[in-house]
Amino acid sequence: MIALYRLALRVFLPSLFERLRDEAIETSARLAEDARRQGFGAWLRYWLIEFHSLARTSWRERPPRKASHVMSTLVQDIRYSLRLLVRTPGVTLVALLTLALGIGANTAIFSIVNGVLLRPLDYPDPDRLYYIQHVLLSDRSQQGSTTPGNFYDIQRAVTSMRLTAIQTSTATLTGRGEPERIQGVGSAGSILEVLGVAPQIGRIFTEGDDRIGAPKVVVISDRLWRRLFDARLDALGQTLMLGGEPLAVVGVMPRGFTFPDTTIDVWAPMQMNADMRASRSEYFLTLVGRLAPGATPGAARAELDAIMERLRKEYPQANGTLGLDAQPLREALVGDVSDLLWILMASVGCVLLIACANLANLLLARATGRSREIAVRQAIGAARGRLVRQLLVESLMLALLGGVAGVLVGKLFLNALVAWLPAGIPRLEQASVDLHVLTFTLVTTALTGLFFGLAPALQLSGNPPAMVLRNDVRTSTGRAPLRALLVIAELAVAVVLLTGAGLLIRSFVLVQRVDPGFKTDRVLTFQTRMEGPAYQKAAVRIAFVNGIVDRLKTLPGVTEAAASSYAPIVGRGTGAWFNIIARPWPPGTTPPGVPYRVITADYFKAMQIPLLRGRLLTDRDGLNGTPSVVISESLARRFWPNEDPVGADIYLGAPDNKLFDRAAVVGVVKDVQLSGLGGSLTDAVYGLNTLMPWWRNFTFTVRTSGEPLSLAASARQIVRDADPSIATTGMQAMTDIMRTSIAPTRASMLLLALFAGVALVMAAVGVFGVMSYAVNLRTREMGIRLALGARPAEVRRMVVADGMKQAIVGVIIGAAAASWVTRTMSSMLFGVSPGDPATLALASSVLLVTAALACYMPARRATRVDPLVVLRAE
Amino acid sequence: MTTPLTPQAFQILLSLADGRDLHGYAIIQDVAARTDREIQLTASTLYAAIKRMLDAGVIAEVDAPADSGGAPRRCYRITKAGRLLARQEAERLARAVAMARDKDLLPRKA
Repeated sequence: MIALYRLALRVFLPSLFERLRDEAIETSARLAEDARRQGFGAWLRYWLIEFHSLARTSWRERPPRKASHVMSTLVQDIRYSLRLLVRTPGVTLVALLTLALGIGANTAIFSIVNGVLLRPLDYPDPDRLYYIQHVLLSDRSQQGSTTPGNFYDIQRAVTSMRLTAIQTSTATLTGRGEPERIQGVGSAGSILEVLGVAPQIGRIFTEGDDRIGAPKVVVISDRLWRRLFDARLDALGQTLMLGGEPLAVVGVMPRGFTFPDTTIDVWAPMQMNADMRASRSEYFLTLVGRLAPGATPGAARAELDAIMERLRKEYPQANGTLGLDAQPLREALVGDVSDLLWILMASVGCVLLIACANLANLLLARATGRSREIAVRQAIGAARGRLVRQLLVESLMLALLGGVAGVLVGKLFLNALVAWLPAGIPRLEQASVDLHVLTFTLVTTALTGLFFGLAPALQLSGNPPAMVLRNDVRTSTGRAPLRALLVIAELAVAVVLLTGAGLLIRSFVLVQRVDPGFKTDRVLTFQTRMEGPAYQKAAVRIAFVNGIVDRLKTLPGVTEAAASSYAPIVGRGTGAWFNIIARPWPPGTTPPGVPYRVITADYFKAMQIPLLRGRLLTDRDGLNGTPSVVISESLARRFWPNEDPVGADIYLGAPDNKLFDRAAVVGVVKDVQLSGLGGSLTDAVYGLNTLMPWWRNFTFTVRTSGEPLSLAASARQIVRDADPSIATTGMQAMTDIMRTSIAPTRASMLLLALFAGVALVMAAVGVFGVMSYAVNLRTREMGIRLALGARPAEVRRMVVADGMKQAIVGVIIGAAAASWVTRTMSSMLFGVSPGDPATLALASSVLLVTAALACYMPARRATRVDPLVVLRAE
Repeated sequence: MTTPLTPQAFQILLSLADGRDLHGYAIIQDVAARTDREIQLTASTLYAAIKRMLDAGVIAEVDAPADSGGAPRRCYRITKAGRLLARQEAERLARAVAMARDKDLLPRKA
């Protein structure tokens, strides 16, 4: 902006000598800074006023003599084009509106792309940070956590990286008002040291703090500091009761610090005892590393591979199938939304391209009306370059005005999008209209102006003036190849967008048709966690959970109630090695891991999951009775393809670390979607909380006869009566969980459908405009044909056929492009493949029909021509 | 100068009238504060006016006081001619106000 202002001062206020100009620039910089502190709107208003007053002052102070020839003709061009814009308000308004929306949408989406994908992470040297996970050697796209045993081995051995392990979790905060759940990160080693961000007060925890016996400390977020301690310095040293344990606050991270996402409020060292540190069967740690000074990513990866090779040999059962994968931290944090965002970016880019093609056509039409003016100017000696420049200045002025409006519209779009997009897009809070975005908009605007201005400029000034003046051009070129090209391009791009949108819509419909495996309506769910010394004993935990379930069942309107370790659909859960006692796995192989759920006896009745074989669980199926489990249909098929699993004995876990020693499979239930409707995870082992009594974190499911959420208050009261220190969280209806699980698919589908709809309308307008224009040019020809006895239907057919030739070429190119381009979408599709022929055919026919309609209207007008009127006009 | 001063130029002179040497940014702040933001000068208007007033000799440039810190910056000081001009303008305005009172546009002084 300052640079622009400097240039403007030099051009428009040349009377200011060097030093005064410098002062003016410095002063305006300070004023702009003042305005910026009040927000983006004030900043923009400031510059608008500044430039406006500069223009007025320049007019008042205009020197009697022109400063230079080039500059003065440029100013002339600008004035002339502004006058022209005002003189044709209809065209100007349509063009400005198109540009403001097109550029605005691009600005908004680019703001998100910039904030989420492009802006570096807010840590020192962020490019040296890596996220390290296990991958299956057989399929490196399958990533997973690692074990404490592996972590400490790798940490000790690695020299090219400083390594830390993290686990995100939630804990209940008590002793400060209502108990509440706080999201936190536990870390072995010190994640804060590896990230390298200094606290705003106090200290961060260091590697020594994770030793057993070291004082238990916690570092909190700026947000929590302000909420709990009103940002007071004496927060340091105070105690937070988290998960029933007193932790001393030793530091506060700076405002805006987030890791790994904005939900996290506490970071604490994870103190593991010697048994835990050596565990090779519990996979819950994720590694974060920072490259050592001088180390290269390649060398670090090679070193990690070598270490993993050794760990595979030393612990074949735990590590036999596993490799290590180091991914730049930013990629890992952004995850799979990058596909979605780039696709959206490409889509709005396409919409803008179509808008440009339409504008080029609009200006062409207007310019043709001016071909006489141009021809006269050329005939009396205007150079072609001068004319092209003047026409380009016109389109650039238009684009610039559109760009300014686009920034404002973009800001509005962005706010709306951020509010509307489903939760779970990482770093979305980083999206803002910053300098990068403004630069992007400026470049887009300039390119837009050039793109839609160049065609008319070249075409117009290329006509030989003598022919124009003799009125020959109007009749000699019945069709303009440039316009045909524009229409073909427009249609092709529209086909691509429409196909993309069609694929997403089909995916969405298919996902919604997936049978979740249980009845989802009229179920209330909420979570609790039993923490602290009061729940050390298994009997207490079992009594607490079963007590709440029993109390819930007595509520009026409740038909059944149960608890489980996780709700289905949510995509979270635990897994363990699956072992059939009669068929032990060969030594040295890693057993398959399967998801398991800890439940209370009536879970299947509460969720209405149908029993397929055997029987359901009863209260007597725990450790002290007849240890039993129920498995899902897909698991039964996987391990007992042709046999009856009922009666088989199994255990979960490693031989030296079993979740339970032995349990009999007593029943098979229908598959339930565990990881979202589009997921494929249905394998499950269900065991009672009396079989796996160490589980502390339960989701309660309450089936009701009425509106489930009306029972929320009573349910909360039941938990409070049982133990006031336990927080109730995630109170929601099962249908809301379902909705959340398809929200990202829904959002991307709606956005792309919106863009495709706009593209379709614009393409129709484009075809209509070009055909109308062509028909107008050929009015005399039509008149003659009709006068000579051609039937109107024939003439109509001729016009439509003419237009459809272009449409068909456009659609064919578009369909070919779409079948190739939509491959980038495969990660977002469900049940339909990219380049799906049915979708392609549908998108193509929609466009062909639209194009036919757009051609038909001008064609009808052509046959309404009264031959006499046309011929008389000669 | 026989034509009336522009309101902006008059306000700039008023800001300097009590003998303070001010730089551009301070003048803008002062004018905005005194007129309750009714007159908000932009950098372009201010420096165009300063250029004219320097040429007319109603203000002069002086070096900023050494202790002002930051980058060295020029300040502006009102000249004798400027003070005279401002007074003439103020008297002209006062006469205009008196006329408005005579015509009952403004309440008469008690």
